[in-house]
Amino acid sequence: MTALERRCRLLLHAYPAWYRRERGEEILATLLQASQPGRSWPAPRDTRALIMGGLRVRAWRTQNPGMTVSLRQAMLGGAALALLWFVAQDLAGLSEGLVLAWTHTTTVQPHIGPWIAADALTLAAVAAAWFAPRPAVAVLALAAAAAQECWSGRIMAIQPAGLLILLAILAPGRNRPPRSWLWLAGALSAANLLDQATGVRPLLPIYNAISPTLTVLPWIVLGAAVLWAAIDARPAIAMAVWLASTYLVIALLEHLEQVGELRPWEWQVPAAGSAILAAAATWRLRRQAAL
Amino acid sequence: MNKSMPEIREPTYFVLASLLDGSLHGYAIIQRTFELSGGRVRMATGTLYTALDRLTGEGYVRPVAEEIVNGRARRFYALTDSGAAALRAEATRMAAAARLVTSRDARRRAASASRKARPA
Repeated sequence: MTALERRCRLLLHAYPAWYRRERGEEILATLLQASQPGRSWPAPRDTRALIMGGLRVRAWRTQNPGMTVSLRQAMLGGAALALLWFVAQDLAGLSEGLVLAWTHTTTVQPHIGPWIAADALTLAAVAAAWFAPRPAVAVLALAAAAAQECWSGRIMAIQPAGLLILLAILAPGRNRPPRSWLWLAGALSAANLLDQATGVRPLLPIYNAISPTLTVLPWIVLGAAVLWAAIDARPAIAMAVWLASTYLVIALLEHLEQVGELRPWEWQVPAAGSAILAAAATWRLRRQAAL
Repeated sequence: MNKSMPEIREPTYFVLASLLDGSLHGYAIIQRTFELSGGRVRMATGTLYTALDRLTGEGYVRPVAEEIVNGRARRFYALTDSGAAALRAEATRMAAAARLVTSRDARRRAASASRKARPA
């Protein structure tokens, strides 16, 4: 085996193992034929193309779902992330009462039950968007939206209810978004829960050590989604939906609920940020959908 | 262009055009694409296989034969009927776009020639 072949084989690891098994030898043969004689390293443009090609296969396999389906998947991903984030915030708010009830066997406040039931329905609707048929997602999402509206009795419930209706509309029959998105959204929301849950803090000795990471984690993921748009623009659109629904809508609803004074930057920054991100990522998605 | 047909970029156009005369393997597609584009499109191997995967997924191209050369698989790709139709549609669209400019230039040249020919 020549040095060039060894290095080309190493580069092929950008592709997933199933793809290498299927196409690895064929790509390698073409790569070696296309390389100038006497070379011991693959050309920089070949290196770049192989890495990008491998990451593309990892991101969205070899299918091109087209612009409409991709946009739908991206918005569904954003709605799911925003809903999981909302449930995490809700549970964080309830954590003190829940932990007290669990550790000191005090009585749970009566309003907690319906809130948790509405959140459980919301979680079920999000999971159904990935695993269940379309009618089941629609029924669960609409039931969860009704539960959020009726049982929580707050203006703030408009946000999850709206997102759940969006989930019911966007629920795909086929061409579901990758499952990895659901795990990532779950992990981000769990980090948010830990970050916000004052009741849980005393139970976690390492809380102080991990707290700064938990706070910046969503922004790191947002930055990664922006960079990842070179490979796949859908996560960036999903993050734009999350940014708008979590920061912009919440700021406006808090103002309506008169929780606090609405300062201009509180809505202008998320509005501008999500609009710019969504526009740039949609433009990128258009290019991605072209053959 | 048909709305259900995805937009075809220049390198993909030449990949499809390279298969007009018959099936080719990966390296031959790279060479033929380079020739057909007058040296403008020089496809990297990774880019070629990304394009072939998407064209296969779209049903425009299909693998038709496989042979083993120096112990490695060499797959041949051929244009399908829908691939040929998409290529023809794209060529017609580009020709119409080109005519928009070339016919205007021709009209302008003819008008200027007739003005010169007119007696003072």
